[in-house]
Amino acid sequence: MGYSYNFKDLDFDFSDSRYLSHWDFMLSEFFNATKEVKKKFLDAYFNEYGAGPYNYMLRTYWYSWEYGNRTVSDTQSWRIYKIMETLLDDNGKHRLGMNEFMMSIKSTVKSFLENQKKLYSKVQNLKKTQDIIQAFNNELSKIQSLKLADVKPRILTEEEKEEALEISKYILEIKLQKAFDQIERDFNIFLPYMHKFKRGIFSADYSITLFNLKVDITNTGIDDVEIPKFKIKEIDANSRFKEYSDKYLAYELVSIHKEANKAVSNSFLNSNDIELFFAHYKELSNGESEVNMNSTFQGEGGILSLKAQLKPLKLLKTSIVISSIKLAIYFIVIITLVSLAINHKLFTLLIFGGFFVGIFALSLVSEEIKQLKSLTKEFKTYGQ
Amino acid sequence: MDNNNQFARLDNTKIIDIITKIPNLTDDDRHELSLRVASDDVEIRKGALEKITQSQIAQHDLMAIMGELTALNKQGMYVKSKQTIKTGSGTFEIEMKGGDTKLIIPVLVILGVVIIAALVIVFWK
Repeated sequence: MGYSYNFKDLDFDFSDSRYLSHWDFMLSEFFNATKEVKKKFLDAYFNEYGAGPYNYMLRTYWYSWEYGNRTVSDTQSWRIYKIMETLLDDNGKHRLGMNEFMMSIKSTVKSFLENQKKLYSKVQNLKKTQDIIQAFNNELSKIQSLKLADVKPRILTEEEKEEALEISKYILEIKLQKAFDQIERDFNIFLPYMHKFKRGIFSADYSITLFNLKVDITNTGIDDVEIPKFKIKEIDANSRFKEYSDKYLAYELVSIHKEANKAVSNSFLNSNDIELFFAHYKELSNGESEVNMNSTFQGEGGILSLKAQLKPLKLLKTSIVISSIKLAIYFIVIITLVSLAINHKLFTLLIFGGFFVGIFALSLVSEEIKQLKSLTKEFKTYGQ
Repeated sequence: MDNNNQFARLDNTKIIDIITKIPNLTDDDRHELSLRVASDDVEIRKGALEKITQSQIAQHDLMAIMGELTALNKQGMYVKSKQTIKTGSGTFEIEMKGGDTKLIIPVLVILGVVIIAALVIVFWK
């Protein structure tokens, strides 16, 4: 059964994220090999597998491969892989080293980010705004103790692996610093507004998208948060793959820059929109209606969710009077009915009526008492 | 709101400077990266302008709604309304209930008196 590959030159793709396959690399080397290497390949094939398989391979595959066909069976691809391993020249080895070097960086960055995603899949609540600094320090120490992803390198030296790890850490540190700078800017925009809630019930939560953290910022009593700025060590690449690593780094930096600018543009209007929220909050707090305001504001690093409830005192007073009158009516009606029944000696009616209607009447009265209690409580709350 | 100030935050000179200083890039690489930065910038600015328009529409809608509600309140009408407006940076939901309640108390008192009177008439002998 044929196994169809569509090979292209496996020079590092700077925009795609893939894991390194040595198998694919060897097949790519085979299909892009010079005439000289191909001749060596045929000799090695004959010596390794004998005349029969050699002739079969020639008849079935070789000539179509020469015409650009890239279909190989599992057996043939395994044999190509094994033989090409032994035929790699210096250029081939350099290409393999470059792929190993770059894939080590990409895999390390990618697997770290994926682990973070898994780690922060559930929402965590932070009790204090300042806890965010602890979260930042934890993330930083995780990056600093990071190990290089094992892409089973065959060419890389220990120094090159060390350099690949340093580049990976550098990229992750920049991402982390950018993310927390965004969070810091959000806090510094959102926190001063929290003092503006003067009346009613309100709550404010800031959800940090990247770490799935939720911070209650309703009553922090602070105006800003300062995230520590660590010094990111400059990377001075000096391995034989430096032109690739620098290129990769440049692309990563451009991509980080784009994400950061996108976050800025998403949060562009949050202070404007919050101003709008408070203008209406102020206006409505002087009105005669019950108001529930529920809003979200996109920040650079997260989303602020604001909830405010307002009940005008006048409305509450009226509701208390209405509730008291309703309660008084219930009592008067019940007392009148009972006394009329007693006066007219309608005891059977009183017992049966009292049993069936009494349950309904009691529930009405108890509901109204609850309502009155809650209104009184609200009056105290909103009256502050 | 000062949109110019906000747009100034989308500065690209720093990243271009970084690209220029990265040692082992070819001129082609630098050119390609600069093009990418420029193209990203256009995309982001376009999105930002859309948000500004969205926010202005939201602001206008909100003013209109608030004006209507205030007018209804002034006319002594009972109002119940729920509005969700998409702003430039999120959503804005306002739910309002209320209005004139002056009539409710006398109505309740009269209703109570009527019920009691009816009961007395029916059972009184």
